[in-house]
Amino acid sequence: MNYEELKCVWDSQNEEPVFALNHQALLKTVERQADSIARYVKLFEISMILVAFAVAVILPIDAWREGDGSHQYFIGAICLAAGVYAWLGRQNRRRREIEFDESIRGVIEKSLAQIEYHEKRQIMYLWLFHLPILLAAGVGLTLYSNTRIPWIWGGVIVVCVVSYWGTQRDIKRNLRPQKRNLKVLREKLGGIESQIT
Amino acid sequence: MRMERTDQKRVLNEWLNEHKSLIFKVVLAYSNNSHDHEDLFQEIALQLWKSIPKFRGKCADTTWIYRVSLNSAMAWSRKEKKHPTDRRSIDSVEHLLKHTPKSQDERLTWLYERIAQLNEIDRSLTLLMLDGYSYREMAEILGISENNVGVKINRIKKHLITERERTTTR
Repeated sequence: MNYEELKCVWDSQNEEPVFALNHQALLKTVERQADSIARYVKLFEISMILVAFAVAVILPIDAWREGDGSHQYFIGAICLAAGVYAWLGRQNRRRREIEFDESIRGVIEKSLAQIEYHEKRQIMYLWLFHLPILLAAGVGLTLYSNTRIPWIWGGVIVVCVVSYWGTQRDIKRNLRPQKRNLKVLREKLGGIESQIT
Repeated sequence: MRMERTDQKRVLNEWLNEHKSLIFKVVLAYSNNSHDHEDLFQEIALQLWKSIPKFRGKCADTTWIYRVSLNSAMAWSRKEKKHPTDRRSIDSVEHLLKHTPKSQDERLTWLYERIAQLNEIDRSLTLLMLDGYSYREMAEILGISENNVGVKINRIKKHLITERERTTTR
């Protein structure tokens, strides 16, 4: 058998498709899924930004009214920085999505960049958002509440450890394997290049 | 400018009407049972829908559809390898695909089986090669050079012909 015969076998499916397609049901399903994914991504990012900005406004106002609570100004400033960071991150992500070309290599690079962005954001949030807020909350409770100090700082440490563990777990179990698979795929494309050079 | 939803729907409808055979080929090359066929078909249709606002007409419709379909199929395969049971419940939706008698062709089934044994990248190249795409178009879709496409294609052709000869002489 030669290649032309293989090609004839292949082309035979063009005369009569292998499947009959339920067109209307497919369109309905696609529309529903597209709506729900877009809504989810938008809702997640925007709600994160709004929460950070809301806390950044409410806490300092509260501290100003009470005339006390410098830690609230500190937490407010951190939330403002986190909100700006999340907003800039969203803008960058959207800009980067446009920058990659639409070849399969381009799509792989884009997916890799998205995963790296997500991983970096998770770690940054842990150190620049969770930790300072917990520390400031710990200081605030120590100064202004009747709770015993070991309980306050014990709680702060537990929450810190759980946040760190959760973040690392997500990175190790989800992001890193995805990244590895994409790199393997990129290497396969690269392998094609190196076979000839 | 933002695309109207009705236009997006019209374009997807046209693409599915005119190029469904192309998508079926990708579906058959990357999935191996009827549930997976439906799941992958839905995924490709969804990615095509999302790609419509980005389509600027710089390449042919078929090239674009192939590109999106192949990329969706590769991403779907990776997800399936990782979470084989983590998929939408196909039983809960109306069935989208139904096999036609043509799908019983033994030689075509054999060809799809051989394609399924190739790695993801070679599978893409094989589909594009069998559908008569030029080296330039294949290179553009995959993001590699034309020379490299040529080397790989020659190997795939030789491999398929040898395999076929081995099967028929048995």
